[in-house]
Amino acid sequence: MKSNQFKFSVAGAIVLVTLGLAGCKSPAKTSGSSAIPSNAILVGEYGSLTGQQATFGTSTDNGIELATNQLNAAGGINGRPVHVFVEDDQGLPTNAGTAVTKLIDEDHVISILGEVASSCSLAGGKVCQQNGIPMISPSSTNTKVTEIGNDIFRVCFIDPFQAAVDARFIHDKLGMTRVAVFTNTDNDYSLGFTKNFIQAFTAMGGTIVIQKGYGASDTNYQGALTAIQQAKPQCILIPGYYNEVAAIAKQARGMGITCPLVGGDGWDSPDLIKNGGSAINGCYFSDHLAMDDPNPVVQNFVKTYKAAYNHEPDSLAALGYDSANLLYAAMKRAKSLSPDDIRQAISTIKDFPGVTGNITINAQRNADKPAVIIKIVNGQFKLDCKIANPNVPLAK
Amino acid sequence: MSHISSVLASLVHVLSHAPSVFWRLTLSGIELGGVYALIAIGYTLVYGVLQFINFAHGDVYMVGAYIGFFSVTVWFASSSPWIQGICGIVLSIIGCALLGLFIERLAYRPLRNGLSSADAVPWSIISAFYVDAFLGKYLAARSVLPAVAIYLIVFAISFAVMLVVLKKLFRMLAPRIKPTNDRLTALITAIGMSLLLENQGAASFGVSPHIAQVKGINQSVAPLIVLVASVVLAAALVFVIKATSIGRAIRAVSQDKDAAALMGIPTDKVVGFTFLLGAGLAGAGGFLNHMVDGVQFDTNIGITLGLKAFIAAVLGGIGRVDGAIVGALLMGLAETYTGASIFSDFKNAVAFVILIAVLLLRPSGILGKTAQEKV
Amino acid sequence: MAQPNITSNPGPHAQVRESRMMHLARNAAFLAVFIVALLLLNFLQHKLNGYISDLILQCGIAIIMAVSLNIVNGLTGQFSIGHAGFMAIGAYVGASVTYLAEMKFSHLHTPPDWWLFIAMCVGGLSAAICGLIVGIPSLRLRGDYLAIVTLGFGEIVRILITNSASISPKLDLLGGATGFSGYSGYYSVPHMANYAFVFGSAFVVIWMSRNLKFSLQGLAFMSVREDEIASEAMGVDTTRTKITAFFLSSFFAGLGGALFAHAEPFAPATFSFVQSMNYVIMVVLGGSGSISGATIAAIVLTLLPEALKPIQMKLGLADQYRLVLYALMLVVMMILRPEGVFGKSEIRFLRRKLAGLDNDLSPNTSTDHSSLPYRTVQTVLDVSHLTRRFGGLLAVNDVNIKLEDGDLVGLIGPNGAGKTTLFNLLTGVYSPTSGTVHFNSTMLAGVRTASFLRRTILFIRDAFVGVVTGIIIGQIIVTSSIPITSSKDQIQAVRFLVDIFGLLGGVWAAVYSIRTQKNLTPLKPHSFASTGIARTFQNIRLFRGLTVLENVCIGSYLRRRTSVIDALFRTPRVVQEEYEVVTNGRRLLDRFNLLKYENALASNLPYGDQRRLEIVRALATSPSILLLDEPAAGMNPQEKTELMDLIRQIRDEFGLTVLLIEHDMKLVMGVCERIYVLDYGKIIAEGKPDEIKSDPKVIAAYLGEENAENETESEKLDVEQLYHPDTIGAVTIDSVSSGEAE
Repeated sequence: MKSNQFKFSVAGAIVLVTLGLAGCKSPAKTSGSSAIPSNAILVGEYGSLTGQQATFGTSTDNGIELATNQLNAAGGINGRPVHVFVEDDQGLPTNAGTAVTKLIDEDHVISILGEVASSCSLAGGKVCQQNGIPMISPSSTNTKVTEIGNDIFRVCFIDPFQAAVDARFIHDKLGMTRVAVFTNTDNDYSLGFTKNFIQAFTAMGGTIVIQKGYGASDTNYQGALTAIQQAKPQCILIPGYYNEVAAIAKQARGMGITCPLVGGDGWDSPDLIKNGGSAINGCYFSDHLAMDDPNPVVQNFVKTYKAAYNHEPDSLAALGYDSANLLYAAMKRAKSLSPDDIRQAISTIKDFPGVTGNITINAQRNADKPAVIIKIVNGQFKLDCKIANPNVPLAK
Repeated sequence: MSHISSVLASLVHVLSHAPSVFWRLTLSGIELGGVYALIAIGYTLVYGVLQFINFAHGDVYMVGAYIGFFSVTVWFASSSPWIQGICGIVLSIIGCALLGLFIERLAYRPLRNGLSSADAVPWSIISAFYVDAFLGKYLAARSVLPAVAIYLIVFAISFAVMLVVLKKLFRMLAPRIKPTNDRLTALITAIGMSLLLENQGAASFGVSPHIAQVKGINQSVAPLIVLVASVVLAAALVFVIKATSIGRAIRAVSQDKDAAALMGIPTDKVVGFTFLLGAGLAGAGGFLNHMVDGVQFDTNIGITLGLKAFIAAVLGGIGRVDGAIVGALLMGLAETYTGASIFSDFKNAVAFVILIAVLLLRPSGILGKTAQEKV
Repeated sequence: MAQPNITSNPGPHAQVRESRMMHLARNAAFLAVFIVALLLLNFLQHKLNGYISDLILQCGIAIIMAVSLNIVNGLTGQFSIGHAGFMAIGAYVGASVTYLAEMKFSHLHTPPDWWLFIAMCVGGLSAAICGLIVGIPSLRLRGDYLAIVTLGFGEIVRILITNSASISPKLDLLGGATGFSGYSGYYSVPHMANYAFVFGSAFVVIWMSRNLKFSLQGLAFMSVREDEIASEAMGVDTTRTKITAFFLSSFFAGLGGALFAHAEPFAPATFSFVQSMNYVIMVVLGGSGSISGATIAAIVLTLLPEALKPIQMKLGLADQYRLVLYALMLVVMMILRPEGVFGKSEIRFLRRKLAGLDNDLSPNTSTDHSSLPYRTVQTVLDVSHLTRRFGGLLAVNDVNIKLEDGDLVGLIGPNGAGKTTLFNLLTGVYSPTSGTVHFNSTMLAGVRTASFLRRTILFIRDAFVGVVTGIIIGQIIVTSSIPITSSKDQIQAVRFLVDIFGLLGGVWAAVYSIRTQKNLTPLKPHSFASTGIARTFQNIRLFRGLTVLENVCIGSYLRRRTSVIDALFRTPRVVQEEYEVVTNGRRLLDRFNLLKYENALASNLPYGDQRRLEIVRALATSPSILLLDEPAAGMNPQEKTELMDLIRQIRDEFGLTVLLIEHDMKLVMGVCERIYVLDYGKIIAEGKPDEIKSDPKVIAAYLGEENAENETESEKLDVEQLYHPDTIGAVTIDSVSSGEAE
């Protein structure tokens, strides 16, 4: 009896301490200086800083941090510095919802930047919409994200656009009509890409000779590749992520499949070349920007990013950078810093000179801007072409 | 009638074209089966001597893959393919064997025999590891000495301190902690070890997948190398089990642990050796599958592959080495065929379906005999 | 009439009637308070800051999940590590229900709150059905298969939900990897699960688990955890019990999942292995079997990581370190305190005493058993030609035994003669190779042919499964290894091949079915127990973690009149039955002078008392036949003498038939009226103790063949000497045979 009471009190104490810990406001990770100036403009960021998609979250975070630091060094927004609260959601929608709630209710941010993964952006976006806080997603390409409501924007292109760009490129530039599609069936991005691509490509008169799937945890693709090989495609569309693509490419080349592989922005990572090696040479993918783009905006970004983080930026970093800069530009233009005015300012942005192209926010709150096609040449990403409107046939 | 004959004609046509694909799939199935067998043998050996599922076994395999990865890409990056391959596989085997032994000493032996002051050694090692991971990292970043030296010094000091402290502590606790043979306790411990390896792996090596291959190996020879190596290793294991005195001791302990102990067999040593053997083979499997065959991997690979290999062991008859091999081959084939068929989306469900079918139809497995519990 | 006789005692009934009134009144009051409390909670939810309120909501769901997992992992001692899988099923089914309701009644913008209740029930039921599908194959077997199967299940559920659209376009509404989004792709599940729903459900789940834990049914669950074989011998259908536990656990998990779907954003990735492990860790750290432990651990482990996040981010530690810490905690906990922080104990307001525990036992009451009608002497157990073969060894060979009502029979034989094997055959632990066991002319063991109808049904089932399996395997082989060609003829040919495969599979399965389904599966020990055969074990198999009284109460499980449903809601019937069972159990304990230990753990009893407790436990099943396996082993001479009296008394008082295995000749000769002698699996002699003593075959069996033939006369004296009460004390068969070796 007595020992039980003891246990109960110990347990009770633990619960109380935990509640206390959870309840007390703890400063989240800060960008730049650790002390928050009293006149700071509070902005929230949520992303997968740990977990399976940690690399995406970290890149985006770096981009946002770079933009914020540059802004604050240049005097902030009308003299007020910006402070970014960062919340980690481990790439899980439930945590994303909680993180955004925390940013709004605990940290009182006035706008939010975030998420790469569409499932997390959807979860966080719904919370933002409910609370009337504008949110800009740097790199969620799923169409649904901005359709949540008038508070949700993005600076990247959307899936159907990218798929159509790939289709147009394969059909017009490569001049191929027989394509195999190899989809990650565990992944919504991959599935959506596949659907949109097939629609666009068949509309152009191409044929999908075979469609195969793989799982996110798969390691051996030979079974499906055998079938693809027999279908004799002119090229294979793999709308997956870089790690899968590298492995698939290696196994495909080992089996004697020599046709080019084509993909989307999921390919963009130095690891693609590191892991894929020579197998990936001669392949193409669509992306938000090419780092070898001679455009001075891009070159300037690459240089400052490298100076700050000691490694090459990827497109997620660029999109993070653009999303933050676009938000800050809108804040500068806004009549006041009320969420309504910020939203108004974001939605009227036109031809914003971003690293990933000139961004215009359209009526669907999506970004109108061109996509690039990157070719992998000798282990290097090379800009192949830019496609602004995939609905118009390209000149050969 | 003519309809049937035309169907038959097409059938002959298709079948005459099928073999090349069929054989290629079969070969790749057997190759995958060989890797499964190397892992499954570890499950079955440990199950034989201790009657419990060593959940952490799949993660030992994962560590094997990482040791292989570092051998190939860092330690022997500039060596010839032969040196890369041989040193890599040997290091993977040795590293994993030691890890297997360490896991047994750290977690399973204190359960089986009760806590004793000798258990302070593995616990000091792991404590020192974590001191290194935090304090060592902190110091290494802020010191003029080379990082390795700092790590070693911190490790040595913390190991010595922890050893003294833990020995005292364990001696004090020992009388209050009784040995247990509760299978649930053992299972939870094993799951704990598995979680530990997985997440420590993810914290150390990162969550993004890795992929690498021994230099100069291409897809046409890799399957053959994997096949030959796994056959050689499995044969070596069968030899050890059947023809050496330690193998006889393992078999004796599998039959009856207490009787074996009464016959003067040092059961603890035998159990340790069993872990050593099983883990070594898993390490070899990790190297072969990932460094020779070039399959990508991350720190979670142990869960899925371990699960499949365990199911293979159950399919063949858990507790039997030959059963593990047969089960693993069938499993590899089933998975490869399904992956290439119209059911390719459900490739990963094959193992599960097999497990359910085995449990319903023949729980003792293909080669196993039903064992009656003594009452 | 100071002490009324219990049998005519109006006490319990009056008490129960009174308590029924009280029960109603209390329930009504309670319900009112409950509803008010829930409304207050809802009010509170809107007052709180969104983040805090979200965390509290997550705690509530974690409590439901942990407490439900505790039913199977803690109470029943099975091990499920795929709880998140069941949660996922509940979440997706629950979300679909709300979605379809909204679509069907499109005039409702958001369906009314009570729809969530329906969604919870449907979600729970679907998860429970999945629990059955997963549990039936794995829980039939002893061992850790459940862990593996649930691990696989959790992963498969995730894969299936992400790939749902490719299974059937109808499942497109699940939305794949992004999470539930309806057919339009833009639907989001309304967040209807407010505090009232979540904490109301959490309360109900805790309340029901508590009702279950402190009930006769709960005792059966725990007995499975303690010792499955003993549990079967007590008449507990262990397979069924385990499946029931798993069913309940999955149901609550599904319910929790449905709540989760209406409270938080989710996607298949939410229900990962890590999530399952979170719940497992809550149960294991909190205390396997402790509802309070699971609840508190659920709260702590939900809030703690959130609270530590800033520190974690400051140090730049990956989330993996949290799991590393959990893993180390698990291992250390298993070594130092395997039962978890709380063990099985509960905090005070979750504890409950068994009904009737404080009841005053009248000292000189007769038991129910003496009031049994007079029974004519008849054969109760008829063993004929019973044979059991282990590989090449005939452990029991053509044994014929007849026990009549009220017999007190001994079974002796040298070590390894097959006595315990025979016992195991008589109690269903083993099934015979041939021969039969009849009890009161119903056949218990032996070849029982299946009826034609049953065989036909099984035949059809097997053939169907065979055809389907054949077609699937055919599809796999054919589609994987045949070059892709678009010729129509060739596709036709492929179909033809698949058909052949299917046909072959069907034929094979049908033949298999005909060959194997001829006979019914042997009865399991609990069926033997329920017909009235009770036993004790050679190596004591008490439920060591349960109290003495609980051990005895499990004996009454066999004669229960209430179901699990009754137990969950703790109906008045349960209270009444518990009262009777406890009273009966305590009376039995009192009769054997064990009442003083009633609340002690069985494992803490002295050895001799443990043996007696095992007999009492067997008696609590109200058996007709009691099989005692070496009851005197390890007892001292005085205890043995007492045991002899006890056995005789038991037989007389309870009107039992007793079959006794014993090495102690003094005991056997002293107490048994008839003796069977078993050697090398065969009955070599049968008769009164005196006849047995002088039977040359018996002497030969004990002393060796040559001795018996050559020196029968002189040996006989020695044997007399051996049996002599003064010398017999510690003489066992072993010492006899070693004497022979000299």
